[in-house]
Amino acid sequence: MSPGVPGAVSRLRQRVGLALVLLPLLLWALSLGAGYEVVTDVHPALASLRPQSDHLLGTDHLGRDVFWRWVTASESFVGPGLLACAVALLLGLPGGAISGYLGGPVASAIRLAFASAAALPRFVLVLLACAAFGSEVGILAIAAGVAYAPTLAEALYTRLESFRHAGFVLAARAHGLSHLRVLLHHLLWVNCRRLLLRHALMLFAYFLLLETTLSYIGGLDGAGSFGVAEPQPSWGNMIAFEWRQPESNPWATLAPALATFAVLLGASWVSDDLKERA
Amino acid sequence: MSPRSLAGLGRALATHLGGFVLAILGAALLLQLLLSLAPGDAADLVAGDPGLRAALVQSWGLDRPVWSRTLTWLSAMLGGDWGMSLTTRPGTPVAELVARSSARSAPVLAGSLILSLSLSVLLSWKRWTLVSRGLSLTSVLPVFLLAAAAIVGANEVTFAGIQAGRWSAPAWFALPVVDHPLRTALAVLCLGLGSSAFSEMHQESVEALERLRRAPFVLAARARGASLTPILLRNLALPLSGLVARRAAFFVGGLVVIEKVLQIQGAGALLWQACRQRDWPLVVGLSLVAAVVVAGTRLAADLFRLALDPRLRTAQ
Repeated sequence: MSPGVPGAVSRLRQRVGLALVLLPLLLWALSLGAGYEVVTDVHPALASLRPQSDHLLGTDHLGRDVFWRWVTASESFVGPGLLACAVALLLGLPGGAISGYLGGPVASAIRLAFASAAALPRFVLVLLACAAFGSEVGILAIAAGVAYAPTLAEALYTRLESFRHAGFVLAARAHGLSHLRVLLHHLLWVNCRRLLLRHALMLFAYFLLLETTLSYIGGLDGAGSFGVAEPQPSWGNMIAFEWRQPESNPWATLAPALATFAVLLGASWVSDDLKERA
Repeated sequence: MSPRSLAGLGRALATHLGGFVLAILGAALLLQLLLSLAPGDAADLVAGDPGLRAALVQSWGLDRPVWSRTLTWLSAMLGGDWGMSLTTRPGTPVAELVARSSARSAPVLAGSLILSLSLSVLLSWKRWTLVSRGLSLTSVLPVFLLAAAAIVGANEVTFAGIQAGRWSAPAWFALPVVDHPLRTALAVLCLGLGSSAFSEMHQESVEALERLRRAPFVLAARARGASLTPILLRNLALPLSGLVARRAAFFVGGLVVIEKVLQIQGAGALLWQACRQRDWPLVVGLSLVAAVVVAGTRLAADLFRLALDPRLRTAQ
């Protein structure tokens, strides 16, 4: 978070951050394995129970198990978040790599195309995509990936630009290695993989932020709005759903809120660490 | 001014202004492209009657290619004809809606940008590590969570006080229903801090300041016993203006979130509503204004740097 943190603290933060980032993947695996039924688990008689042995985090005001909804909510952002990363890489990687390696007018043209897309704020672009194509998480993921691609391409361009005339690139070329090999191995793999990983992580965190935000506002807005809709759980709509219920189980809002915070914090710690080592 | 630096200045100005115009054109093209890719077209949403539909398709130019539509539509917008809202406020001119809602959003946008920037500069300057760590940690919270927590916290505490008879209900009670300056202040605070707005800005200003403090010319100035503050501030303005330019889009996008959560009737909330109701003329008008604000901030930052840094003005 700030430079000059002592080594031990920084190492601890890196490990804790990594654990927090991996938590959603664990929850996702658990959720896919468990097959929790989101639609049928409604028991008004068991409404707003506090945590107990058969409901680890208690129940919400419809008597649904908070723990399993909390776990199942990972399906709303882990898979789509990875899809968003794939889309951003698919668009941003060739764009950034070609413009950074070649330079000249090609680079200017590609960068201009990306820069003109970047005048629209990401959130606005995602909202527009939802309005035009519907707000299923798949569309949300593709829109987020497309919206993030200019950032990725520009970062890659800046990195490669500084290496274009570097001694090791000239040496590799002089040894008769092809442009493709120099670009793929010597530049992208050896010198940019941490950068790419960091951006993928930042996009994953951004997607979590985007999905919970849309689902929260959509949850307050009612049926037919954007984001993940009830009864499918999302950390965002779980908070919106329980927020103003009288006598509600506090864990029904705290669990998703804390989890969102923890994953975002972990992602920021790990990406800081990757930035220092990149 | 020598001819060489005049030529350099001219070229730099042309580049920045050209970049601004291209960014707006690109955004407009992207908007039209998005709408043309959407399943069905705008006319489907309005007209059930085939005759009316055909008339609408022709008058909106939906039968022409995207680039030609974009140009016609941009020139109409330049001439002040922004069209009418279709579903959100049927029959109201889009220009009027955009102007009215933007006026309510502008203070929140400007306020949060200034708050975020000044707070991060102040904290990196003073090196109050504990305060900045705490704020950075809070800043990781998404804007909506921060705002929701603030609403509940303020309401609960005030309500408890009212029940205990310690005070009567204040004018803003209960958040976020009443339109009160406190609500605007809360919006500024949440947007300026949340979703890593503050932590990223703070981190970059810390790095910029560290680089400056280690720079040889600062060392030379110190050795001569000069006062460092004006030198540092002047040189810090360069990276910071770039930072503002890069972060502007984030704040404009964040307006939608904060206005929805705090129920402020600004441009962001209107955009959400227009998107929900597929009110394309309004959606396009508001999005284009967002793009103009973002590209305009970038242009202003570039011009500011051009004025401040003579190196950028010399022809290469």
